[in-house]
Amino acid sequence: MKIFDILITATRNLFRSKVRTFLTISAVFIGTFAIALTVGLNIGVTNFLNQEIGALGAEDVLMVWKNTDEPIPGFGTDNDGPRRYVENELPPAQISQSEMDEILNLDNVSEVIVFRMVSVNNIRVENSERYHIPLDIGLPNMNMNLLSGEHINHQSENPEIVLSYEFVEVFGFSDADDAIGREVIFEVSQPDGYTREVAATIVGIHQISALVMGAGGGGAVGNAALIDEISAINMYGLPEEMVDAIFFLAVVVDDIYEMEYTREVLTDMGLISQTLEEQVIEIMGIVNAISAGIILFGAIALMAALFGIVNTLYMSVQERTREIGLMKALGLGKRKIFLIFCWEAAMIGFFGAAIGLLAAMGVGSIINQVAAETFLSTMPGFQLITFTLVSSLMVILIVMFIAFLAGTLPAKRASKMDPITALRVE
Amino acid sequence: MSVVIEAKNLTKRYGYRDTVFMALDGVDVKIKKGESVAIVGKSGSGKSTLMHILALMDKQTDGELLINETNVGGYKSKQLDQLRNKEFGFVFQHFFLNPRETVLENVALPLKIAGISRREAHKRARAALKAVDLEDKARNKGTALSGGQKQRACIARAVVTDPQVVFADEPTGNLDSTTGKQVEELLFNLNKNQGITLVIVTHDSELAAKCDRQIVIKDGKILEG
Repeated sequence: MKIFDILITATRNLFRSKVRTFLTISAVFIGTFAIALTVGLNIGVTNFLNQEIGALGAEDVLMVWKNTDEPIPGFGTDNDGPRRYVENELPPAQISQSEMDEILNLDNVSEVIVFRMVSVNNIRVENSERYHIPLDIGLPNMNMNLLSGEHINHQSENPEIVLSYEFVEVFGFSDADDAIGREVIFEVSQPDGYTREVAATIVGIHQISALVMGAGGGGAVGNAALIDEISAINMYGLPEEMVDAIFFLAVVVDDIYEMEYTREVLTDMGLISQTLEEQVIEIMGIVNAISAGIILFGAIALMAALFGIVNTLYMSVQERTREIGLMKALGLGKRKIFLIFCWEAAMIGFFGAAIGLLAAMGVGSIINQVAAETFLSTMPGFQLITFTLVSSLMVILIVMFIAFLAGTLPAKRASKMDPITALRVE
Repeated sequence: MSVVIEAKNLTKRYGYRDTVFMALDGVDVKIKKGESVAIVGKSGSGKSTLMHILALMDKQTDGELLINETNVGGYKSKQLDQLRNKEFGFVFQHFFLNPRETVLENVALPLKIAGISRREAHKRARAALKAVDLEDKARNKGTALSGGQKQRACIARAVVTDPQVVFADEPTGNLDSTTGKQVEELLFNLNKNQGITLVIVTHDSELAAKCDRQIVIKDGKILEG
């Protein structure tokens, strides 16, 4: 018998006991659906993060902070309960000015930027409405996906920003190029309630990118001169040790191949350093862990489905005893009988996997749509659940292969059947 | 005339020691090309076992079996399968037509097992159906046929591979006398016109008498033939 005929025979056999076949396929379907959806989610997130890492650039930048159990203000609480305030004592998580100088003097370090968190009330241009905006310090050498202009210069004395494209229209600029060189005004509050205004020059317009330093909803990044000025207003009148406190540094290295050495030195100084990529990988680790969990459940469902396949085919072998006997009597070899049943199992796997995959694609696109309109609306281009041809084929092939293996048990029984016994009519 | 099947001192033993049972006990058979031979005997006499061994569906415990003057004792199961598919055709008492498939598919089955292409297999199956006057039933399912039609379809299936020998196991056992006669006629026509060797297992003495020769078997031994 030719392979093609074996395939046809096996597939036809599936449709003999339709309800039974349908139920067995359903079990495979459930397992595959869970696995396919999870794989899709994993690919979607991984793709997105990879894309973003690639887009981020800044490979020569290390984020640096103190290696200490003490909490950094605003980043977690003290596990040991409330701390007593001691006059003139620096919070231990703080990086001192002398440490910062030491870092700047390292061989491989070209630039050290104090990373401050600031808040502004709003932004406007002359004669425009005022708008909310998140403002962050720009990482050196970060790829901002600029539509026009250039990245901020931290060495510049003048306050500079790169502004999100969304603001071009609301500020009445004709296009991205038109915005370059224009002045924006930030309204900044002092702790005592007074507000001050800080002007900055637009040096670049960028397309919204979800991971650009938390710029959810689109925003602006400023250079050191701007951020320092705003930070000073934010902290106006506060104790000097708080105003001067440094918790995060962005350290730019000359040679990224020597970066590991620099990091060792930083570690010896009691500092933690992390690249942007490592920060993203940390997120990815969480995603992978969740994926692994769901895939495990899918795999358990598939395991149960496999017993279903074994059971179904045992019944099928039993029912078709006479037919198997006849085919053997007419000269069909053991191996081909074996293959017919294995293929039948593989076809159950195929249909279950294909339907499961299609369902996962359908549900995935619904989820994507809902996500894009709700919690991912600030991250255009993030397709939460993504299917690739390779991953889809892999899922189908793996499920088929496992089903094929499950089929070997009943197939063995069929192939061992004695034609004389099988054809005996009681 | 050449010898198609020759068996020398065949024995078939079931069980061990105390419970040993000799289904065949030193049987010699010679079937020549173009002969029609009846194997007769009561049920339990060993006639079915003899046919199964001659048809390569079962293995003897002892003795030699020659097909076309070649000893098949050392053949692997795959070679035996191929030989059975190519040289032998089978007609069973209970037909064994697959009710879910068309008559044409049923008749083409031995050709498909032989690995012949679907198109060619269907072509030859159609010709075989024409020879038994069932060409108009080709597209029907097996269940749609009467008993006589079923057995004719089985004969078409038996000869579709152009075998040397057709084994018929009680071919008229499930038919009324009229249709039984038609089936007998068909079988003997194949024997006379196409020179197909016919081996019929039966306890119907009337049918056996129509054969060239009878092998009478009792308690695993040949009484006559």
